[in-house]
Amino acid sequence: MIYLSHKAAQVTGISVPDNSSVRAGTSILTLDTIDEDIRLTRVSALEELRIILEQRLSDPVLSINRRMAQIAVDTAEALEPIAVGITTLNEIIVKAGGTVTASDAAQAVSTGIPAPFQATKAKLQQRQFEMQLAESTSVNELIRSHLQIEIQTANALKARATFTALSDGKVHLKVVMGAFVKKGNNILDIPLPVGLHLGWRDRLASTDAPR
Amino acid sequence: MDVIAPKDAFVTAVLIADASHVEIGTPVLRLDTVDEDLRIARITALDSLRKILAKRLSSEVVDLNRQLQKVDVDSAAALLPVLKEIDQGSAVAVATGQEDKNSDAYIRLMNPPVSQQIDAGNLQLQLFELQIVEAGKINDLAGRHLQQELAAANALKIRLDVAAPSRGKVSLKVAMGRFIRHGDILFAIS
Repeated sequence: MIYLSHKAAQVTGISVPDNSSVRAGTSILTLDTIDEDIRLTRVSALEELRIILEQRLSDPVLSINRRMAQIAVDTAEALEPIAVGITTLNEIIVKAGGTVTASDAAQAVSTGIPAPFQATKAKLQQRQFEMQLAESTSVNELIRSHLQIEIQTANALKARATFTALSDGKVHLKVVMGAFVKKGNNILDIPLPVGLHLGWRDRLASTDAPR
Repeated sequence: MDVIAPKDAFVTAVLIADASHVEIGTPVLRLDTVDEDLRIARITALDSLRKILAKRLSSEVVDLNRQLQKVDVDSAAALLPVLKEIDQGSAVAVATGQEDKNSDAYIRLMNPPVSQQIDAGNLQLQLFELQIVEAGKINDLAGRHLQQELAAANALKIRLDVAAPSRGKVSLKVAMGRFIRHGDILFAIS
């Protein structure tokens, strides 16, 4: 069986001498994993960032934001009758023969008339916050599950850089440690015993039936 | 007939024995699908994200945002005629000497912003409706395109289950676990 390099890489480790006999599963050589390692680092950094941002979705941040939204509602609701009351008071003063300047009246209505609208707005914003929270929770869960796939893939690609014997036999090394190999280069050879293919079929039949 | 590798890959499964007879369509080899699986996972994640964000276009969320856009306009629209009424009353009072000429300063200060607030609010409402239409179109486009991407990714993955294209006796040229290059002969059928 001829093993070809699956990427352009340096041979960073040779675990067996040339011409040695190996069993299936014996570690033989390792290619460099710089690309795979930085890929894993990047994915891990993204996962850490996700975990940091996830804290916005739980206490104490969540409670603070909920309280702030509730305070806005409470304030607007508390202000509404007072603001309307000032306008009414102005009207009472005028009716009683007192004097209210245009600016007094304007200031009163500028607060009084928008007050119920502000209360409505605060309640709408409170609902909007809960909707945004639900969306952020869904996005966070999606990113979490996808990053797990990215990490598994990166690990699988890294594992490829370590070559193990797939069958018993004598190893013929085609490279030395530190050598740079190109994609597709023959890096080692383990001659297959006669009839091994048949053995594979029997083994596969029980665990991996043809589709 | 030679069957060649569709890409650089590892042979992850040999499904028949060397020198065995096969019919058309008999699975022979399987190549690794790491890249294809990740591609499918990424497309699927993008489509899931699209579906999450598409909820912003639901009637519940759109209605809420529309109300939020409208509430400031409604507030200003309710205030403006009252301010104008006070303004007119004040002008009369100043003209007849009942009020100091500066007593309407607040009115002069308030009127233009409130009026502009209504104009700006109405424009924002128009913009909001246009943005909803645009977001709807982009969502549809993304949905359709991601389906095409997914179909293509699945088609590329299926290629990696290599089946016999004709009847005959198989001569395997590769073994399980071997890395092969694009164009290498995987097996021959004679």
